[in-house]
Parts: sequence; C-alpha cells; structure tokens
Amino acid sequence: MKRLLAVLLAFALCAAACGGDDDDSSASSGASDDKPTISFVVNPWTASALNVQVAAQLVESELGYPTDIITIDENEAMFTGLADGTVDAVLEIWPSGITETEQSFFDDGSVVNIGDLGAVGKIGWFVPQYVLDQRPEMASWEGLTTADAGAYFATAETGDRGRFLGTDPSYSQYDALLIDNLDLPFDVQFSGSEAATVAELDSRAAAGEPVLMYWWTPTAAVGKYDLVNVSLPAFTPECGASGAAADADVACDYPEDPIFKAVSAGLADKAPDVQAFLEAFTITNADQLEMLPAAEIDGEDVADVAAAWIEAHADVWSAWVS
Amino acid sequence: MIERVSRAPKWGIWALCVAVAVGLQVAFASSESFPAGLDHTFSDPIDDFGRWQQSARRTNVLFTGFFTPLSDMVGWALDTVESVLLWVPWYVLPAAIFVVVARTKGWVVGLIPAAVMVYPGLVGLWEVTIDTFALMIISVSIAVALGVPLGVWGALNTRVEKSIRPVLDAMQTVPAPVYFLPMLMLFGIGRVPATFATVIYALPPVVRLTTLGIREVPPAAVEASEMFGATKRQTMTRVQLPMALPTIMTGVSQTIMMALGIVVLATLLGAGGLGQEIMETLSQRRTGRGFATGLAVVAIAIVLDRLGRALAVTDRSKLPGRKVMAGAAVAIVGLTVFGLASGITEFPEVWSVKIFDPIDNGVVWIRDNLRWLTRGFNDLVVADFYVPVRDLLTETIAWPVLLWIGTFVGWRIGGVRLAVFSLSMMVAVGLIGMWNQSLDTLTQVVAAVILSVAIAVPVGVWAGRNPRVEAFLGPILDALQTIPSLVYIIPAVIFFTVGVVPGIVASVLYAIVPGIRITALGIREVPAESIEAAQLFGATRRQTMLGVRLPLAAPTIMAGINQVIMMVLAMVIISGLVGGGALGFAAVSAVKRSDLGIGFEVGFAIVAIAMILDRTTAAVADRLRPVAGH
Amino acid sequence: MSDPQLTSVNAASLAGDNIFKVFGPKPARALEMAVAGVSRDDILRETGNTVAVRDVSFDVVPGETFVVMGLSGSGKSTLIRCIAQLVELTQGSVSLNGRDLTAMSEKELRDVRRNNMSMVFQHFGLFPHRRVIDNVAYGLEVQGIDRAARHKRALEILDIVGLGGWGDHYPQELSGGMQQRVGLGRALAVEPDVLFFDEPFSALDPLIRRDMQNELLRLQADMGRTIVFITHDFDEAIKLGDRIAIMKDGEFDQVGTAHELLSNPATDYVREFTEDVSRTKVLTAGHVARAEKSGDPMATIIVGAEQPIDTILGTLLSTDEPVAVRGTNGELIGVVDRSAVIELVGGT
Ligand SMILES: Nc1ncnc2c1ncn2[C@@H]1O[C@H](COP(=O)(O)OP(=O)(O)OP(=O)(O)O)[C@@H](O)[C@H]1O
Ligand SMILES: [Mg+2]
Repeated sequence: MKRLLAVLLAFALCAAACGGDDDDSSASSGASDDKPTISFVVNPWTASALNVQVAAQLVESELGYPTDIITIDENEAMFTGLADGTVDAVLEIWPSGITETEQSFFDDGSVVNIGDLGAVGKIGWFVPQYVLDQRPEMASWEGLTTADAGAYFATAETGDRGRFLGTDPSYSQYDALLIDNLDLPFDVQFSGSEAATVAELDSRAAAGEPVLMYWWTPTAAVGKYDLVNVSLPAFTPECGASGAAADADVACDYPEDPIFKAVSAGLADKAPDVQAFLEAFTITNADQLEMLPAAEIDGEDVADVAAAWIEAHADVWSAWVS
Repeated sequence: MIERVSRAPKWGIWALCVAVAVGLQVAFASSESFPAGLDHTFSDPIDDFGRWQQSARRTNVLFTGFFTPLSDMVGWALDTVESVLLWVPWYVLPAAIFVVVARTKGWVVGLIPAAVMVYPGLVGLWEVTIDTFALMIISVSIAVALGVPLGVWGALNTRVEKSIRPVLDAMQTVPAPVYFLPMLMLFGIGRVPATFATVIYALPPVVRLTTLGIREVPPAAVEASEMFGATKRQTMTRVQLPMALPTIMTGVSQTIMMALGIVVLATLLGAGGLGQEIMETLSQRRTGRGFATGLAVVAIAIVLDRLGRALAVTDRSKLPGRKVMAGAAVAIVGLTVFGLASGITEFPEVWSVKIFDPIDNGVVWIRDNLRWLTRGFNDLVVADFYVPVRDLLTETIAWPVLLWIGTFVGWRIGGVRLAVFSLSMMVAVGLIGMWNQSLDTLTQVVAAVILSVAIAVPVGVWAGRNPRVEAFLGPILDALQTIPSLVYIIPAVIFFTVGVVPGIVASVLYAIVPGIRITALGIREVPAESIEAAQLFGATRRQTMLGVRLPLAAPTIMAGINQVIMMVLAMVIISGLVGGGALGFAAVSAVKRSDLGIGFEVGFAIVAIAMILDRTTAAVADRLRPVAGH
Repeated sequence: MSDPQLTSVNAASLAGDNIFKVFGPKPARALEMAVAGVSRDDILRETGNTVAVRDVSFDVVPGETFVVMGLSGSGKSTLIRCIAQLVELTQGSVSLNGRDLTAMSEKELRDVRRNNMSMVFQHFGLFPHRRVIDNVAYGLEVQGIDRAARHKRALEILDIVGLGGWGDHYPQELSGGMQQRVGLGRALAVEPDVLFFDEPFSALDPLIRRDMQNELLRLQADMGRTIVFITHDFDEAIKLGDRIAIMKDGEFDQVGTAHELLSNPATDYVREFTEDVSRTKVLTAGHVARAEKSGDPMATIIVGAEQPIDTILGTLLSTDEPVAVRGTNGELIGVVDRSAVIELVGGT
C-alpha cells in the first residue's frame, strides 16, 4: 500500500515537472510565479468589463503578472476591498456616483485616484426615437409635464401616471427627486437590474411601445435601439446635482462624468510597474464604442472583444507599457 | 373512527370581529400609515457599526487576528482547488468523478455524472464552471464539516438542539442578501464572502438531518455498543454515525441543492463564476446562453450529489479490489501526465454556447406573436388583483384594522400563542417602518401562492394517482428546482414587462415543485383500505376523490402548501431584480448600496412575514389532522 | 470439553441489593412513596413517575442461570439494564464478584464491560452496517485488539454458534434465528464472566426458539457461565433456569426453582402463572417418586430421577407396574406409578 502511494506521488511530481515545460499555450503563460496576482474590479456594466479585460490582458502578457477579476457593484464594499487590498484596481468610477463614505476612502489615502480613464460618461433620461416620432415635444422635459404625457407612458402598475424605468439601485441616480422637483406626472419603477431593463427595452421596442428610462452613454444599446437623450434643465455646479447624494431640491440634468481610475494605496509597493501602466492606461468613448456593439449586440465574449482591440491598437497601448 | 377537531364557526365571534374591524376603520380612517416609531432605532447603530468596521478592518485584532486569516485560508483553498482543476487536462476531472462513483455504484452509474461533467466543457463554459465547482466544493465541505458535528451535538443534547433550531429556521427564512452585507464586512469582497454566505444558506439541512439521523439510530444498537465497553466516541464513530449515514446524506444532498441555489445571488458579493456568466448573458438578452449556463449549474448539482452519495457508501465488501483501484489511480495519473506532456489542458471547443441560440429565436417569436396573451395576463394580474389589493391594504384599510384582523385570525386558528406572536411581529414590522412595503410584498406573495396552489394541487393529485405521470414530472421538477430562476425570469420580463408579474411567475415555477411532490405523496399515502371501503359502498371515482382521498390527504397537502409559501418567500429577492419592488427590491438595493441598516430591517420584515405565515399554515394543518377519538 | 475457548473458569457471582428504578420528572418523591409501599399506579397518578423496579434483591452464584420472568411492563428489561448499568439506579447497588458496579467510575465500568460481562438483546441490536464477522468482533475491536486477531477469534466463535461461512454477509441477509446467533456470538466473543439475555428468543418463531434454547443449553453445558436470563415465557424459564424469579409491578413476587414455584406458589399471582404450565414438563421422576411400599409389585423398569415426567409417560403407560427411579449415582430413590402421574395431569 505504501509503495503504491510512493509510486503515485512520483508520478504526480513527474507530471508536475513535465507539465511545467510544455505549458505555453495558456493565457497566463507569461505570468511567472513570484509575481503577485493583480485583482481588478469589474462593475456590472459591459464597458467596465471591456476596460478591465484590456488592462488585465496587457498586464498579463506585457508585465507578466497573473490577474484576477472580481465583479461587484460600485459601492462601499468595493471601496473597502480596494482599501484593504483585496482588489487592486477599478477602472471606471463615475464621479457623480460617489457617496460621502466613499469619498472618505480617497480622503484618508487608502484608495488613490490615478487620473481620468479618458471616456466621459453621461447619465440621463432616454426615449427611443419612435417616441419622438409620435411626440416630438418629448425631446425635452417640458414635453413631459402634462397629464397626457404621463398617461402616454403609463403601465398597468402605474395607472394613469407615467412609468419612469429605473435600473440598478447601485447606479448613481436621483430621478425620483427630479420628477418631484420638476413636478412631472411620473413614478419611478426600478427594474432592479441591467438585465431586466434591457429585457424590458427589447420588449417595448419590438412592439413600438413608449418607454422613458434611465440610461447612460457610452453604451451599445443607444445605437441599437436608437435611444435619444431627453434634455433636462441644464446642469450647473450650483444646481445641487453633485455626487450620489443630490440635494433634495435638485432640478437639473446629470453632469457629464469624466470617468476616472483608482487603485489600492498598496499597489505602488506591490507592483510599481502595474501602477505606472494603469496611470497611463486610457480608453476613450471612441474606443468603448468600437468594442461595445460586438459585446452587447453580437453577444461576443468580452475577453475576445478586448483581445481584438489589443490586436488592432498596438500603437496605442505600447506607450502604456514602456 | 376519524373525528375532525371541529369548531363550527361561531357566528357571534366572527360578527364581533367584523364589528371591531369596522369600528377601528371608522376611527382610524384618516390616519396615516403605521407610525414608524422605531425607524432608525436599530438601523442607525447597525450603520454605525458598518462604518466602524471599515476602519477597524485594518487595525482591530478581531480582523487582523481572526477574520482576515480565516478569509485568507478559505481563499487559499479556493485558489488551490480551482488551479489544480484547471491545471490538469480537462478530461481528468470527469475521469476522476467516474472512478469515485463507479467504485461504489458500478460503472454504469459512474458514467452518468462523468458525462454530465463534460457538458459545461462542450458548450464552452469549462473555466467558469470550474470556478463555481471549486466554490461549491469548498462551501459544501465547510457546511458538512460544521453541520455534521453541530447536528451530532444537537442529537446528544436536547438543550443544544432547542437553541440551534430557531437559528436554523431564521437562516432558512432570512433572505440571503441580508447577510451578504455582514459577510462583505467580515471577509471583504469576492469568493471568500460568497463561500461563507453559501455555507450559512446551505447549512440548515445537514444539521437537521444529522440530528434526525442520529436520533433515529435504534437505541438497541447504541446500548449494545455501550455494553461492549465502547467509549462514547467509539459508539459515535462506529455505530451512530455509520447508521445515520443515509439520513445524513439526504441532508448533504439538500445542502448541495441549497448551495447551488444562491450561485446567482452570490454575484452580489463578487463571486464570479457561472452566476456572473448568467447575469452577463442575460444583460445581453441571450436567453439561450443563459439557459445553457443554467444547465451547467444543474450539472454541478448532479455531479456533487452523485459524488456525495458514492463517497458515503461504507459497504467495503462491495468495492472493487485494491488492485483495480490502484490501476484506476495509475490510469488517471498516466492520463494527467500524458495530457500535460502533450499540452492538452483546456477543453477543446466543440459546440460552444451558441448551440442554444435557437432558444433566442423562440423567445423573439413568443415576444412578437403571443404578446396579446402574455401582456394580457400581466395586465390582468396587475390591474385587477395586485394594484387593487395593495392599495386596499396600504391605503384604504387603516392599519389598526389589519392588526386586529391578523391577531383575531391567529387566535381562531392557533390560539392565544399564535395571536400574540402575530400581533407582536406585525407591530415590530410597523415600528421599524416596513409596514407598507411588507403589505406590498405580502400581496405579491399571496398572488403567487394562489397560482402555485391552483397548479400544484391538481397536478400533484394527478401525479399521486398515476405513477407514470410522476415519473415523467420527476426530472422536470428537479431541473426547476436547481436551474437558477433568473434564467427563465429575464425572458419572463420580455413577455410580461418589468413589474410584479415576472417575479410572481418565477415564484410559481419554483414553488410548485414541493407543492406537487408533497401533494402526490399525500394522495399516495391514503390507505388502500379506506379507498376500498368507499368503493364497496358504491362511491363513484369522483366521490372517492372528494370524499376520501382529498380529506385524508388534506394535512399532507397543507404541509405542501406551507412549503409553497416558504418557497415563494425565498423568491421575493429574485423578484426584486426584475421590478417586483417592495421588500425584495429593498433587500437587493441594501446590498448593492452597502446599506446595512436597511438590510437588517428588510430581513426582519421578511422573516416576520415568513414566521407568521408558517405558523398559521402549520396550525391549519394541525387542525386538519385526523385525531383518534380519545 | 470440545471447545477450549469456552471454559467455565471465569464464572462470577452477581448480587443485587434493594434496587429501585424510577422513571420520570420527580424521582426523589416517587422513591419515597415507593419505599413507603404506595402502589405503582398511585405513584404514577400522583407524581407522574413510573416505578419500574422496586426493592429488588438477589444473589446469583457462579455458573448459575438465573431467570427473571414476568408480564410485559413488569420491569424486567429495566432490571437487567440496572444490573448491566445501562441505566442509572435510583437506589440500591449491584455487585459483581463483590465489586460494587454502582460505585465505579466510567472508566472502571468500561473495563468491567470489556472484560467481564456482555449482553444479548431482544431485538438483536446488531449493527446493520457491519458484516457478521465485524459484528461478532465488535467487542474486541473496541478493546483495541488488532484486526487479524479479532477476526481469527470471531471466525472461531462463528463456528461455535453454527454460523461458519456467514462472516462476510450482512445481518439483514440472515434469518431471524441466525441473526440472534450473531448476537449470541458477539456476546460470547469477549469471553464474559456474566451474560445477560433480555428476551433474546421472543422475536423468533417457536421452532427456531426451541433450537436456540437447546443451543444455549449446549453452550452453557460447556462453558458454565453465570447467566441472567429475561423471558416472559414460563416454559422457557423452566427449561433454562436453575432458579426463576417471578416479577410483578417491578417487584420479585417469588424466587425459587421451578419445582418450588409450582408446588409452593407464594402469591396468587405466581399461582396463576404456574397454573397453565404443564407439570409433566417441569416435574421430574425424582419429584413425584414415592417410597416403595411393601405391596408394590417388583419394579423391573428403571428411569433417571432427572427425567421430566413427560419423557417417561410412554414407559408408564406401557406397564401396570410402578417404575423404579434411580438417582445419578444409581441409588434407588423410590418408585413412580401411573396413579401419581394421572393425579398430576388431572391437577393441571
Ligand atoms: N426510559 C423510560 N422512561 C420512562 N418509563 C420507562 C422507560 N423504560 C421503561 N419505562 C417504564 O417502566 C416500566 C417497565 O418497563 P420494562 O421495559 O422494564 O418492562 P418489561 O418487563 O421489560 O416489558 P416487556 O416484556 O414489554 O419488554 C413500564 O411501565 C415502562 O413504561
Ligand atoms: Mg423488555
């Protein structure tokens, strides 16, 4: 019995040794064992996943670190994870969504803002183009003030008021306050998840039924469903729409969000070259819109889409790794 | 002679009830909703604690000395299992599963889980499946490692059992996202907190059934062991545990099912794996792929279940000889070496998930052609049931009236104890500010329960009388119970629209499973003599069914309805992800926004609803139970 | 002595002293009442406690088979469990070879159980997950004896109890009688000084039961252990027991040999019990022999004094003459004639 065990053990060791040499096909091949794993956060929307895929694949292939990807909402738990080094980097923070508590992580230095990503996001209210074809006045919020406008967007659940479709509660949003303060005949109904919102949009669009919803750019859905941003009272720095905790009397559009990157304070020591890489890492709206349709509409794997982008843009990213 | 505990309705008492209700309604007609006197009283300190731990994580010894190392250890185990499974050639895992299962169950039985394990690879989900597989192996192992000793302790010590039981009850009714937040706080984000959350969620069955199994060991066997001078430990390990093993394994199976049940929700913790894949696929409206991914979850369930059963066989005489096993081990090692040497580690791309894409076309077809039906149903349920009932409960009827009616019904059904319990739970829910949301959720729950019962009882009766029907339904019911409900709930959104209906539909699909099973069981267990007696008296089939079968099966059916209610409540969270609003949405949003205080309040409200409904239906079942005349 | 493994050198003496056992919530109060002589039913009604054993004392000499018999619920099982220390005595003591079992520590008691006593159970109490051989070897296993040695011993025992070749089967695969042989083998394997039997054969059908009784008699003839045997079957008690205790409501009504109980019942209860017993089975030629009278015809047929009457009935019927009864040493004890037996049978 013992001898048998010994033989098995020898086999296993040999297997480990032989395996090591020939293993050059896998993605993590460049990663050598003594380098620490770099963990990226992906937030639950496609653009975030694409950015991270691009960065993670380059960190593996060019810098030789193994990587790990954790998907979690953009919330305090994520910041706590960054602060204690469970995860190292997040590449898509929307400034409008930062809460007071979250800001405190930047203030005490445990999470470090390493500059803008390059893409600029914009949250807003959207309707499909066919709505505007019927009701051109709805291109602006003033077209939504009448009871008739409410009835136009009504569902069985909202009765004679209009349904405003919210999405994920973790996103930054203050639509209920806007509706109150602009005195619109609408109720917010949260779908609860991006998946449900997209399903709803798909269903409504297929039947040409009206829908007014929270959405953002850059996203592929805007192109696919021909979504139009409804204009709200213009954003001004004083109008109270700063951060996730908007003032109670907020009555203006969402600001443009220059998306930024952040890393755990420990990353500079853990992997200075990764820190430098991520500081240089830039993805613009154009880059995102180049990748998004393949992932969101054609349903390709985000890793493949990112790999294709890397393939096509060596000139862009080579500057980040030098 | 069977005698029902009959309490003929005493009209006087009910009239009094109505009179008091009307009086209260008149008196409080203009009052606002339940005064939430204790809103923030509990949630604020909890929030403060949450804030405290954010800074304490890095300094406090509780974290640095305990939670962080524990978290690192589990993280290490997860990584190891996963990287080993991904390092060896793909076919080694199915081969090893085959060997383990075939060793005790024969090679035909061994082939099934091995083939099932290949499925995720065939559809291109190998790596994510391994990810989830590793998480499940570690979670289930921890659950068993904690649950069996705990169950043993409970079996040996009644006082321990009595104090564990309510905790287990709570663990089963508290919606998982509610303890996701504490998990995030204690263990950070990622698969480690997901592991612990899964352990908590999945622990109760293995504890319960271990206690039961040990208790069921015939005292004679234990006495015999003692009589031969065995120590307590010897008796436990050599007699009680082995004899309880079949029951314990039933518990382990259930634990595995439970663990797989929160694969999708665990993505809220950053668990990744198949759950994440499902969420992403569904965001792309790839119903077919979502379905394919859901089946990978079912595959893991089958594999783990068979592995568990195979490992639990202790009958040594029926095992193949050592030489065969050594040969199998050498073969596996050889295969490993061969695969590594020739560079085969990743699963070859065979079909990819795309083979399920035709399902997408089906969804589109239904969307475009059956809209009149699905949307019609949606609007009917919403406009003619949900909205009126919700508004009736939250706006028209004054809250004291509901308190009164709830208490009164509790008293009539379950006596003073149930009345006091219901009253105090309702008052507590109101005081913490969850009154309206609870009533909203309750309305949805009632709708789902009515629909579930309307489906489950007739189907269950049919299955109970016709073994072929039951055999046919078996695998479908199994799949319904294991496949993550989001897989079918997102298409439901496309068909019905965002709102309460997809949640209700998903709850129904999930809850009819125990409803059908238990009803069929009840019908089947009706003693043949009773049926024959009825037939001798010339009863028609219909009379036999209505007069004998159904009444005799009534207590069991009621127990099934009780299970239906619990399952529907378990789905409240899922409905929060598709527009169901109310408590489900509040719970999801609490996790997503890291809002510990709200999470606590929501959790309490759901548990309160669950406990009131559970005890009430249990009391009804008790009253239906025939009692032999004293 | 064909079986050197089963020698009688170890037979032990066993004594019980004023044993009380009360089940229930308030044993102290119930015990007080029981000592004061309040009836079992009254105690139950007043305190909710069951007095299962009440003031039982006995002495079993080495090598004796002591049978306790009584109706269901009379406390037999409880008594034997008290003796075996499987339940704690409410009052009283039990001693084995003069050592007080009730005063022993857990460890001491465990040693006694491992080395000095074992038990055969009413419903066999076998371990269904172990093969027959591992059932039989269980007592040795818990003592830490290695696998090879204990299996060797178990195989010998299986031969002795007539189960040679069944070692690799599981208990469920055996018939009831065979299962109880396993139970018997398991008890014998540890070479106990005292064997407890709690209605071991009552779950078996009559034919098998008789087989097993004979088997036990055969083994006991070889090994001469001290045995406490519980039964509710008086015939079984007579067949196996050197002395019999009749138990009622937790108490011993009478203790004595079969003959003493039959010829001299101490209470109505004992009388009722013995009434239905076929005397011809219990009484031997020696019991009914009378002194030879001068007018007697010459006895030409001779029977042994230990032979039960029913075994000499044929002989008596075949002759009008009295039959001579001889003791074990060949001495003439007396004669038996047909009229004595007719009187005996008619009296039952
Ligand atoms: N663990 C217990 N708890 C409470 N009462 C008990 C317990 N064990 C036995 N009794 C009671 O003690 C009395 C004697 O029971 P016991 O089992 O000793 O009777 P028995 O003579 O062995 O009967 P049987 O022939 O049916 O085996 C009964 O009234 C029984 O109900
Ligand atoms: Mg008994």
